[in-house]
Amino acid sequence: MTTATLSSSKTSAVITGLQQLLADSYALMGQTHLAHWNVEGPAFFELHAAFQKHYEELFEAIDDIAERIRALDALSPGGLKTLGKMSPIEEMPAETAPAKDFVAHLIEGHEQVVASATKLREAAGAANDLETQDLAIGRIQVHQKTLWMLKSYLKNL
Amino acid sequence: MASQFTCSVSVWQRDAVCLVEQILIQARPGQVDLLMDLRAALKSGGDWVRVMDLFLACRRELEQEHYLPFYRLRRLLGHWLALELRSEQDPEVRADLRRLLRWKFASFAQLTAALDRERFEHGRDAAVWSLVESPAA
Repeated sequence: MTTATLSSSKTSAVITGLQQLLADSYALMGQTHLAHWNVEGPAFFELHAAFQKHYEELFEAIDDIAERIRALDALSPGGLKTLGKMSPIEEMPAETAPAKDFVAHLIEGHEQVVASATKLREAAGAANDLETQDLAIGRIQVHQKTLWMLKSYLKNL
Repeated sequence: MASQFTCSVSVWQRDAVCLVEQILIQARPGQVDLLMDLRAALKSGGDWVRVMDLFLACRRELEQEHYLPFYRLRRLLGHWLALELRSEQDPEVRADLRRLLRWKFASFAQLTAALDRERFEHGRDAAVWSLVESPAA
């Protein structure tokens, strides 16, 4: 079975969705890397290692997202400034903060990525672009799993 | 269903009230009154010092059990409220409320007392502090 020919407006919505997902994922990667460097406290070793796994996973995913944009015959945006302007994910200042603040900040970042991946999933579904939809679903699964782990860390039992 | 909010309540106040309601659902009986007071103060708005005092009191009691909603509340208050001071030396200055809310002050008075000490150490005069609604840049 082949993917049906996409209408140009629906393809445009898919490309826009991919670009947003790319920007949000890139911003989240940067914030995760910052947390990896700056987190302090009794949980330093586990959080430092966990954040490294997260940003390494995001680095691979970002490449897949950008190459999907290229596969749809559009150019991918790139660069810190450009992608930073596109994403609503805020930057944490380089200041001492409780470890739980780093975790909470990243939870909000992952939630933003889930939101943009969900929009992309819907746009891809409307355009009958099953391949992009599959990519979006995969990203939602990864980020939802990370959210479960980060939220579990914040529980005070 | 009739809206529980009047038209004058801003979107951020509604978001803050929703966060308090999330905590209320899980709160123990002894914690409910303080949360209800905070909820009411956020809904009516205007008296931001009272909102801050109630927020800091709730935070002291409940933050460890409900870290994420309190983090989100802290961000909302830090973004939408501004801490202004007026003194003879500094007619109009703003302090960074978002940075200050990182620290666990017991009350608004304690927060401003810490700022006054800092001003004193730098040879500045006593200030009058106020909280106003104003989104951060």
